[in-house]
Amino acid sequence: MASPKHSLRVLILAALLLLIVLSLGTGQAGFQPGELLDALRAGDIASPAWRIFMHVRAPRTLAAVMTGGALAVSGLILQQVLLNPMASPGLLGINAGAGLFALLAAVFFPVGLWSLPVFAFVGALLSALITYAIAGALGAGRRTIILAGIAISSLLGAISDAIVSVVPDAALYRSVFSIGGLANVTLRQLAAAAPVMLLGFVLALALGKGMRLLTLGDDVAHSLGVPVVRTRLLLLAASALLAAAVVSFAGLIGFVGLVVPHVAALLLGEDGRRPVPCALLGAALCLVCDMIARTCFAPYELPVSIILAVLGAPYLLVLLLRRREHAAL
Amino acid sequence: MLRFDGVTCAYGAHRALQDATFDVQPGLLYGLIGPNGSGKTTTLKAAAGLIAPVRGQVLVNEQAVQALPPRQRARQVAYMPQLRETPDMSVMQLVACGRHPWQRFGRPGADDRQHIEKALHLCSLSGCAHRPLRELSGGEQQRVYLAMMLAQDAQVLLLDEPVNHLDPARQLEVFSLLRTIALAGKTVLMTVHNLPLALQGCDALIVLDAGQVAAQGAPADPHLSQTIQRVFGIALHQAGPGWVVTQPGD
Repeated sequence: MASPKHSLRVLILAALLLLIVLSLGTGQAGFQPGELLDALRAGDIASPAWRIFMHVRAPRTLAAVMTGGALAVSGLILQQVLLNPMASPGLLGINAGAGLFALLAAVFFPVGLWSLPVFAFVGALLSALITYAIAGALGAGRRTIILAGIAISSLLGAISDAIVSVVPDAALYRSVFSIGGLANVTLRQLAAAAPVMLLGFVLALALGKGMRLLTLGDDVAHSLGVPVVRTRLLLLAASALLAAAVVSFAGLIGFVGLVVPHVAALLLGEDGRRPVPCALLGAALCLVCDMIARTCFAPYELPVSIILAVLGAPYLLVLLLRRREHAAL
Repeated sequence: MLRFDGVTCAYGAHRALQDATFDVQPGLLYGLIGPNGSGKTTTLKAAAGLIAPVRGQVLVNEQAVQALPPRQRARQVAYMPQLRETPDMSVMQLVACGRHPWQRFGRPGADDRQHIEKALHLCSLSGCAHRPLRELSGGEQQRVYLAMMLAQDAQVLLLDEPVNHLDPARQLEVFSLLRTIALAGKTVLMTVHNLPLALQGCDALIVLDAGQVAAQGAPADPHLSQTIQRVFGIALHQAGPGWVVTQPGD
């Protein structure tokens, strides 16, 4: 008989597949599934159903899956590697670094589609390393690194604002980037971000065991034969790759990286601290929130980050309260 | 065997350990004692390869610890620090982490499972193998870390205050367990804050004073007890099989 946690994993995977189908079929412009199948059979790429599917629904659904999965794993890595439950790409300056460099790419290489994820990654990694180095120099306390991250985020945000002031053309990109969302994402953007994201996932999977052992503390991990500094730096790079890839097509989407690892751990226990279950849950959450964002207030649409915060924050609080009750028993 | 050969360790300009030379033989239970700040933890960290000596070297079975690749070092030296994390793991999962140096890929094999089961049994944890670590008391968590260390099956075991947070009965149990492990041919060195317990429970003691080895020998050695009294500023009295610590002159 399957264990409850195994059943829960299967349930999450099934829910994700169902959500993907629902997301592909949900939107303001309606068409019957039969219309799409007819267009597919006839090879009619000019049909409205096909155009809506390929240019709106598919990119958006794929973007939601990639965003949720990547940010969840990025946050998971940071929380595990830095032994800090408050760590997330947004709080450690990774998003701000990726945003600044993506802005620079948009200003100086406006036609270079591939330059965005690469620049975003360089910015994300640099800001992560600067935050980590500053926290290390100050004593590397768990709160210190968050405070250092907030300081770096503010500084990088100010530099971005200064660039917008000097280069007015950058204002539009900055505005879209700051709000963050999945509307208008194209398959070409996703294709450009995919290799960066894939590299981040592969690194996270390959270093999964080292990541778990780092949660025992540096001294114990060292005693167990983990090359602590190298493993931590590679994992930080993986986290930066994942967050930067998302920033390059969706802008700043907060909350997923912070909340999903906690929800995964509360639902699945230790298994929730592994990259794959965490990514599946992040993708499912992002899909649900994106469907709400584009359908509940039609014909208007809310940025997905707002829905994520509105739904995710109370859910996390309820789960934390439940865990406290269990711990008190 | 563990050998300190003229080891000096420094934090910036501060020399936490100076020219330390001593051997820790297999088969005996060694205690490292000294007042606060005397260099006990630094000594263990140097032995574990966590701190690189600025002079001298630490040898494990005639090989310099610092020169060993991480996994190979972990098969020879296990270290349990004084301050430990409480990860989101069950007792069994944490103990299984001890097998990491012996696994390249995949799930634990039959040999790994055997070591894990044995370590759980030796530390009286078989009944709570699937409980989350967070639900256990500090003393129980300490035993889980000890079990992880035993599962690691290293030749040299370094333990920083392994009986802190434990009630007296458990303290004696841990000493008895470590003595059994030493008698099985392992090299065991631990720091002990409780002086009467160290004198009663260890086969040999190394006394540190301001980063230097002040004395070493068996607890019954008169020179050793004189040095302990001088270094700690206390008086020692033997009472039956145990020891009593009092103020000088009492």
